[in-house]
Amino acid sequence: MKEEEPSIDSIDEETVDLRAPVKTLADKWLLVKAFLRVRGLVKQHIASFDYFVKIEIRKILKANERIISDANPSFYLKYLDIRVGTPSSEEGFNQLNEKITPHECRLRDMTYSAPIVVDIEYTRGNQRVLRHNLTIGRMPIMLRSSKCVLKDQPPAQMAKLQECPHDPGGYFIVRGSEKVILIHEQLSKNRIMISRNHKKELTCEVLSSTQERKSKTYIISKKRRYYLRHNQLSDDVPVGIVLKAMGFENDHDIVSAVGIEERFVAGMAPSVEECERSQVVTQKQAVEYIGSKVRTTRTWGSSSKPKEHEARDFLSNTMIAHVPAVDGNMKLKAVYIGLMIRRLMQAEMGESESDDRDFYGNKRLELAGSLLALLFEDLFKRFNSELKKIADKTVIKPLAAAFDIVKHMRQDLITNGLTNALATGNWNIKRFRIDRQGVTQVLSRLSYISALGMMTRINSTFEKTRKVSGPRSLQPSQWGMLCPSDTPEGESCGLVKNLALMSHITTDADEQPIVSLLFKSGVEDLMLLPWTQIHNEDQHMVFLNGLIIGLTKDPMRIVRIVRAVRRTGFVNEFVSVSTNAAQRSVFIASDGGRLCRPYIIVEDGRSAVQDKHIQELHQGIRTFDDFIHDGLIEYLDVNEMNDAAIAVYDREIGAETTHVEIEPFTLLGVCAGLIPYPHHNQSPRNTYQCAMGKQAMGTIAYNQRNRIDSLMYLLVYPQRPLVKTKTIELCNFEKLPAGQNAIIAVMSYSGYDIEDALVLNKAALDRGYGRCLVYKHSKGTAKKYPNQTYDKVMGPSLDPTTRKPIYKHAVLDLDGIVCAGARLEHKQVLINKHVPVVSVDPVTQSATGPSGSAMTTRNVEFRESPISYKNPVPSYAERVLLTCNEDDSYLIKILQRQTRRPELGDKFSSRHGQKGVCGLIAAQEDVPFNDLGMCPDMIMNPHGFPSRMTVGKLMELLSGKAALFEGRFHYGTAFGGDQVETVKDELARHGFNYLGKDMLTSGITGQSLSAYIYFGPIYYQKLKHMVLDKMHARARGPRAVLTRQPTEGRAREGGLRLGEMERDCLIAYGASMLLMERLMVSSDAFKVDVCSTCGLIGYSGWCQRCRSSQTMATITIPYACKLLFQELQSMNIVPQLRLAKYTDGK
Amino acid sequence: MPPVDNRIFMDHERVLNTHDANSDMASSSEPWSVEKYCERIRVEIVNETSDGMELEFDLIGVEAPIANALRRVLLAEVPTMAIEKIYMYQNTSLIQDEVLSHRLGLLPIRVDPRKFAFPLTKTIGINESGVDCDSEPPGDPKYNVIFELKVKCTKNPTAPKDATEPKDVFINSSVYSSEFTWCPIGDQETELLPHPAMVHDDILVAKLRPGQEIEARCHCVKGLGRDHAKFSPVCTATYRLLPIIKIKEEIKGEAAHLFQKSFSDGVIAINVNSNGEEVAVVQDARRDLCSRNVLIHEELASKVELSRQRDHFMFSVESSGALRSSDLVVEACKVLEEKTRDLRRLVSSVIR
Repeated sequence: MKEEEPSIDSIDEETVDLRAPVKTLADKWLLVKAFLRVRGLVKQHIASFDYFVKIEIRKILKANERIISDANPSFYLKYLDIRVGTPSSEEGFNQLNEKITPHECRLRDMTYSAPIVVDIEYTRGNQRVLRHNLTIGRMPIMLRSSKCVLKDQPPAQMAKLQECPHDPGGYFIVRGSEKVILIHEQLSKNRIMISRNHKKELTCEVLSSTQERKSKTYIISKKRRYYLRHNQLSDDVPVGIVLKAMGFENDHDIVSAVGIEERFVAGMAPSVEECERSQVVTQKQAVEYIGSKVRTTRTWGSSSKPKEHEARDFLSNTMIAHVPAVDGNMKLKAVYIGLMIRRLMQAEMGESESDDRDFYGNKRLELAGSLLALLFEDLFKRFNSELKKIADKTVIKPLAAAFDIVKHMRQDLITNGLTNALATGNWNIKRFRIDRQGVTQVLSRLSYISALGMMTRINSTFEKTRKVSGPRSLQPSQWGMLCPSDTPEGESCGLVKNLALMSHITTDADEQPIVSLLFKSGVEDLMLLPWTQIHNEDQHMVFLNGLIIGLTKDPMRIVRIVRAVRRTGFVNEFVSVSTNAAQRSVFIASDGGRLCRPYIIVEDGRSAVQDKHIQELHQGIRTFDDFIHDGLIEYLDVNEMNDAAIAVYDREIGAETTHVEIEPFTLLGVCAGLIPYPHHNQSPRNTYQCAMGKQAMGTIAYNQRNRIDSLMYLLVYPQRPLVKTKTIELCNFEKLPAGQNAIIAVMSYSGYDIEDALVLNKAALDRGYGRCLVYKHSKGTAKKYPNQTYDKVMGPSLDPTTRKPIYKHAVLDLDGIVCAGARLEHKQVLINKHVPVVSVDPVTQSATGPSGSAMTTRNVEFRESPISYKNPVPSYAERVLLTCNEDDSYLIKILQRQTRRPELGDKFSSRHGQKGVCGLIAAQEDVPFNDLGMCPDMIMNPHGFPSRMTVGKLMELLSGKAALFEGRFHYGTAFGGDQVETVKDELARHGFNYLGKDMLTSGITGQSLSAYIYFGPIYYQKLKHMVLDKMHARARGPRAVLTRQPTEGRAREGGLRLGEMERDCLIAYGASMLLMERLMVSSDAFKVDVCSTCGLIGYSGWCQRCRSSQTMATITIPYACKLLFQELQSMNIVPQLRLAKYTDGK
Repeated sequence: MPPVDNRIFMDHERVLNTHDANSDMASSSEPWSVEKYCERIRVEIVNETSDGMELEFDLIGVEAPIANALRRVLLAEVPTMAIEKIYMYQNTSLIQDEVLSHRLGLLPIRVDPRKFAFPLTKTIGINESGVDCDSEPPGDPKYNVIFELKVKCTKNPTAPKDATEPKDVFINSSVYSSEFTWCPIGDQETELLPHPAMVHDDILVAKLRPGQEIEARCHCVKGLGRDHAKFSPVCTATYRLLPIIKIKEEIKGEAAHLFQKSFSDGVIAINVNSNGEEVAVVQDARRDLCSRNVLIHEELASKVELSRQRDHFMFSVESSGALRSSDLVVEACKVLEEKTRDLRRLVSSVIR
């Protein structure tokens, strides 16, 4: 982007060419604001879930609406309707709490869910019964979705519900933890793809996906003959035979299905000939041929059908399953196969390239709604087959009361299936053989931005181990849809991506209105046209979601009509229409999962959005949706973008321009949007900041003090950045900031600042800079057991002499739970829980009644099982929560707090991927000062700049400094913002050096420094990595039980391993005694008695084998070595030790 | 040794002649005499605010180490009283105990530290086994000043119906530093005059909502800024060198106005000379903030020499409120004196 671009914040009148008909709109970014107000940052998740809950769930019901019994033909159950209710919780038996809030679920470790209710009609005996509102299970509810209590609540109401108004929602609360279903990226279904297989041969493949089936069909060529390949075929079948089996015996039809041009006719000749050679002429023969190839993989379903039926079933239902064979008419399928062959031929002849799998037009994003729909349908089918089984078993039995199926409907199958999948992230769908792990993740609440970033994350289904760069590299079609900066480093680099600010993911739209629109606007039905017309030169194929709808002679008319109708709002705004001249096709898409983005429509070189519209938007008369309804703005998906000429700025609009960008900064995502002047940084620095912004501590949400999270980092005094961006304003980062404006001096100081270390001013730390709060929680449950016993929480034990609580119980209240506000020291007990020794007692349970077991409870023995505080650094107990969870047991949560001031080794980072640790804390009087007497909060080494090339950081300092004196927050918006040119004048106006360099005096010598120092405020983030959580040393401590060697890891107070490389060094050096000391004496030295005659290990000076005590010697060996000998012995290998006196020498 | 050039020069990209050879006493061949040295030193008070809290004075004729020593002592080694130990009886506010304590500690207190002694022992707090102390110690009038904070927020019964602002709807919704009451111990009531108080009454300490309360007894002790910034007696104490602007060549006409704009307000005046031309003259170099922006303009850069006088320190001391700035400077000098005396004792003990 060019430097001279007029700033979007302050438009410079002079840059506008007066002759130009269009004037740059100053406040177009208001449209972004309006967009986000309507759509929100996580609208895609919510829209997808809403679609599932409202529409798709009904479709699933419709597809599985009837249960009939094989045993009794008169029995049936029919689902009439299905709904998801409002969130509630079951408190005990049949008690419904209708007023459940998401926050209560978080605190009480419950699932935020709503009942799924159905209306059914079924037979009971000879009666037909109608039942309404039967609960069949519970559905976890996405926060802020249409079913959530938070939907469209004003901030005041949100506060009442203890919810943060800035929280984006779009996640679930499952057993108290917040779970996000990540967006998954995959290839689009039902589209013809030409690609090369592992042998570099061209193939044509279609992944068909319908409600019932998923199947993959290939067309391949071998020796210039074409074959159809499918999983269910044991062998490749010549295409001619396939077409014949479909009822098209005529060779002319077969050839013209591919093309009537000379080259296609010639290309088909070998395939037609092959039919002849296999002596397949008639449909019957062809069907028999295919029947012999079809694999019958029927597991359940008893009847084995004749081969011909299998073949017909394969042709009509399995092969290219998404193309319907209405009433057995397979013409559509035949045309489709013909088209596949044609595309393959074209690619082979070099007329077209193979399709790009990384192109975003060929990708679909799978969201929470569609994943849940898959899971729900699977569970619902299981639920129904379970009911059917019961019906089959019981209907035949003569019973006193008529069989009532409702009594056998169990809710927990669906409830547990859904919650378990969400809780573990394991998506098991047996029907489609899907078994995916890690579909859900716990929402990262390190900072507000990390939560937002997680909601926009896209996971690729591509394997991480493969070393191909294609899927990882930046795709040009990503422009504006996915953030070019926000991707992790390392193994998943380029595979995990993030949505850009304005991108939207479509949900399925109804096809029917589009189909009728197409037919009305001149598309001819394929069924009615002769074969020769299909690939006629002036005929263009019209596709809808990968299906051939018909042919047209005027494709542009179709495109124009569809666009016009979409702009007027008569069809869904997300319908896209694009053309392909080489394939002579028009593609119309209304399916879900496409990436799209709003653009301003340009007509006759004039932007449709004019100043007056923006004015109206500003006044609140207009909303973003009005812009769409009025045809001023439309959504373009990646495919349609390819047909559009889009100007980035208004002044670039030419005669053929069709659209103009709303704001270029929206091509970045939320995380990259926080960076000021990102367009001046080296691109990997922006990527690093995207990763680090998620680790910055600050504020999480307005309800942060009501939360009891397992880990929460907060800043005591967070600040808004002096240099902000439009994205910062739009995503409310200013209201929930994570960082502080620090005064930085870019200079070398003390030598403790090499390698990116920072020098901090002690006085700044004294006054609260970088001070943070660390919250952790401990949790305990008091359960009830089947044998009528229950966990007890007991008061503190007293010291017998002083009558005061013992040290371990010093912080306990009389109820046995720590008192709020107490200071918790290492190993002190938080919850003094006692657990019954015997909790399962099947005898008492079955033999005696409740009275008998009450006898036993009286003399139950209890064992201590306290929850204690394990951290050498003390904490304070901030809050104690006593409640009950879903399993009806008591739940005790204790929130612990630490306040930390920055110390040596704590990590800080600016917003430009420049991280550093604190290397020195210098006293205020030692730190240099400027003429005003100001001393920096931080000193940063200038060597951080040349190699990193983070010019944005330099600009941030300059703008920040000017912001201080102007009293106005400055902007560092991408491709805009306050320009250096104006900022330097502002500085000069206030009597400062225009370069931002101040004259500093050394605090140590008192003399002026001989260099001018770049001095001013930069927004610094404190990252969660702190020395206090990492430092570790051990002199002695716990050992592992099995090997008696020191434990591993800081959490277990483990030792630092002297590994094999270190060992090699000691051997090479010849420090054998040191080696002995490290590897045995300080680790697991063990004295064993060894018999010098048989060489086996004995005990207490006795050899059991020799039955003697005369030959025993005591040696010291590592315990692990002794263990090895014994393990070998257990495997019938006898290790024998040959002993010799040390003094015997050689 | 005569001074080579007692100025440092502000070049476009760097500062020249910063090395201070004058303070390098060892290389001096002349015998050094205290009387002669002291004769050269001048102190001129430039400005003092009416409350005596801000003081500007010029210290002329000393080397940077001396001036810097004064600055450093003012920042870090002049004692003041600050809240050090807080006995929190109740804190049901939203603000955490530690954070509240930290905030209270930073409040400046108006009490003469000279009337107190440094605490000899560690203040009683958490005992060896890590348990907070059970009771508040009485406090010693020689070492402590005790303030009490006792605030409870309630609903305002007389609030107007349509009020929405917390300060109207609730009583004590914001706790200001004025809420502290001084609790005299021993004979402090009569001995300490004027009575100890907070320097500012309008510092926001915490915010409360109905039902929340803070009750704390704050024990102040005498301490040094080196230990914690809250004990520092000054907001800042600093100096800068006197700027010298030398116009080497006459700057006339349009250029003169540009020249004037390149400096801070009031630095350059424009006179009309005998030929009726406008000429830039240096009016008050003191006011210049040394932005060096004049050097941007190539035509002006050659006509001006920017420098600063190395032995002219323009001091600025802003007291944080316990003592007047002038007293602080005197106190700092006393500390400095004490330090030199210590040094002399140490040196002489080594020599002997």
